[in-house]
Amino acid sequence: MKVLFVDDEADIREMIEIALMVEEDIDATFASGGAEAIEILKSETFDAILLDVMMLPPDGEEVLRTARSLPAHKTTKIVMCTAKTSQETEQELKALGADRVLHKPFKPVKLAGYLRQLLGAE
Amino acid sequence: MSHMFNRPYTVHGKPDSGRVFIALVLSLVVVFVAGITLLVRSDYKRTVNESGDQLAYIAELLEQSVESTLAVANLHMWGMIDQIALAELGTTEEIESRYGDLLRKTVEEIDQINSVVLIAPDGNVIWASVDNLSGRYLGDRQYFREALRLGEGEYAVGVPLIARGSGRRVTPIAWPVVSPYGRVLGVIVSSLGEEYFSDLLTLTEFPPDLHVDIQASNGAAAFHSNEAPRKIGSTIISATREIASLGLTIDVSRSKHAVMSAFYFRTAGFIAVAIILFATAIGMAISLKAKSVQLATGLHRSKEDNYRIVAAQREFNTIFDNVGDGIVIFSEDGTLNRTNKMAREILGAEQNEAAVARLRTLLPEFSDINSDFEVHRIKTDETQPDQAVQCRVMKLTTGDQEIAYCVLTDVTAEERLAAARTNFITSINHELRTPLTSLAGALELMENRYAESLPAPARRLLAMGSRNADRLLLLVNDILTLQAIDQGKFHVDAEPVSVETALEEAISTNSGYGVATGVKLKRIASVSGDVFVDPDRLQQIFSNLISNAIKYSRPEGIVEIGAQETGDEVTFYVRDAGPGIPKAARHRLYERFTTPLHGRGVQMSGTGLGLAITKQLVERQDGQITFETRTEEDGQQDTGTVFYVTFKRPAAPATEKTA
Repeated sequence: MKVLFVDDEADIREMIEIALMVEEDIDATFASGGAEAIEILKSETFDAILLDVMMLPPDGEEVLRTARSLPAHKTTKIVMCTAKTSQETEQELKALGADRVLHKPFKPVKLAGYLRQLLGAE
Repeated sequence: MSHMFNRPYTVHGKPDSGRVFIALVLSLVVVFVAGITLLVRSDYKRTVNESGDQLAYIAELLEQSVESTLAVANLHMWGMIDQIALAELGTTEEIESRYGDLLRKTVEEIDQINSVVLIAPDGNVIWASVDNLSGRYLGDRQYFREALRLGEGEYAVGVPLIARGSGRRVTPIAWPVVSPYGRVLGVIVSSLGEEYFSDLLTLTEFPPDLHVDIQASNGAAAFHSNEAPRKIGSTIISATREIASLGLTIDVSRSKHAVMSAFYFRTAGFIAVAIILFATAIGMAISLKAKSVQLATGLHRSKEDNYRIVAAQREFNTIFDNVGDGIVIFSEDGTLNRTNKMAREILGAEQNEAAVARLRTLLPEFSDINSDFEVHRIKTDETQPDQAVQCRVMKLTTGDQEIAYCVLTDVTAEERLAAARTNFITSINHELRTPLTSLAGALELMENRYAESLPAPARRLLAMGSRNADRLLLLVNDILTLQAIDQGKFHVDAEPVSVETALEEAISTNSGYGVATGVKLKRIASVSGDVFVDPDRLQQIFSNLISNAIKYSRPEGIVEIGAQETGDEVTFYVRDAGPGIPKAARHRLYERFTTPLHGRGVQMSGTGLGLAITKQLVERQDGQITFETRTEEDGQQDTGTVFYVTFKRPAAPATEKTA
């Protein structure tokens, strides 16, 4: 399964990369910000996108909007990663087209399981 | 201002007004008594004088009656004497045969006399209408000798005497029998008896208690009225009258007591009525006085009240104008417009009316304002973008109009501060969480994948680092949850949740906590059906309670989880066999950042926010949280703690849900 991770924190990206190194079935791509993510989305397709909400503009919400506006990503599973736990935020994001909201901090060890469950591979 | 309220409110009444009043009443009594005495005295004198006059009149009447009847008797007598004086009288037998009938007829015809005696000039009785006098010598009698010297048409009256025959009191009268040639042939003697006077008295209709004496100048009585003898010592009122033709004196008298009885009766009545009237008047005066005193006291009191009201009003006005909040009072119809200094300042108006008008443009229509109490946020200064005024409005009905009471509080600074705090916490949260996420994640990955290849001390240090990174994350999360609750940004989506499913999920999610110490979770009871809660929040509650229970359990212990039902409620419980909650800590169990409950040895790691959050989560869903605990300090051997969390069943019949 092909997954795009978008986060402007290099440490997070690196940690996820290490966590997923051992997972043979997951092909991870990383973007260091909104602008880079939009560029990648224009040329590639993914099974899932994990999108950090709080980034320097263009932020997660904007990337989400852009992704949903592209025909290639209409049905791609998009998971928004946020530290905001309020119900309002969650509903707002789902209204914009997010499939799930993943509360930060998540456990990198459990990430692979989460992705498999998301994509119905388990 | 305080001096105003310390003012002494004394009544400045006249202290001697009561005494003056009593003196007035007493002098009135004296004047009354004097007046009554004077009146009674003059009435007494008048009564005495009147009765004297009355007695004199009676005496005069009696005298005139005597005179007139005597005159009539004289005429008769002289008529008869004219007939017998034509010749010598002769012997008794001759007189009897010649004049016997005439003489007897005269006695009968003249009411005033009872008998007639004819006496010869030598003094011997030659004829008498009564037998026992015939032949007796009466020449020595004063009236006989007087009559011998009298001429025709004259008569002599003798001294009253007691008649020898009848024993009655009589007054003799003697008429001379004078011949046509002027020679005295004899004397006719008769007498006026007591019955004559008493008849006359009856005719004059004198009062029955009247006493009448008729007596000669030498004191001999011609008549005594049959009145009881005079009481010795009692005062007498009397009148005297001369009967000239008889040489007698009429003495009419009455005991003063009898005269005065009417007076006494009248006076007693008069005094009684006067006293009643006077007492009534005095009584009324006293009651009026009492009333006037009451009135004066009342007046003083109302003056005092007035002072107090004025003082209270000044006090109120001072507070009203200087209080830190703005106060606006207005009525719907605009007749009442009151504002204080701060309100005018907040509303930017100089006058009451302008300030009220400005506020009313910022509030809903008067009729739309909740009749009880509501709070509005208004902006009164457009030049300040973040300016905010809180307006608490209360509507009250006073009399027939509705009045709105508004308290304006400028909350700009407060809200700026709150916003700054929120921003601070949010950014701290983000700035903390981002590195923490990396830290915890990295440590976790390392522990999971590479721990075996590390030397033992390094493994222990790694475990320590990982555990504390998790703890720090938990703390940040708890703070954020509480902040959301405090700011009201916390939402609950309650739905019917299967009790069994909820319990199973709680056990499977939280079993991991106990792995390190070998503590096991055990479901011991459950109930069928649903409970009405937010499923995510319920699991949050379980997580907090179960992680606590595991933390305080002894190694290899068991934490029991279950549910029971009471009425339309379901109570979940989490029971541990730990040391229990110390007495000193029980009351502050739900406080935030509560100080450690146990000593260092027992106290486990924790944020100090778990139970505070749990309580909020339960209560926001209309549930209750309680606990039971047993400790050694209570003298219990099987120590432990049970937390109970109770929620309601769904109101409508729950849809079937399979576990």
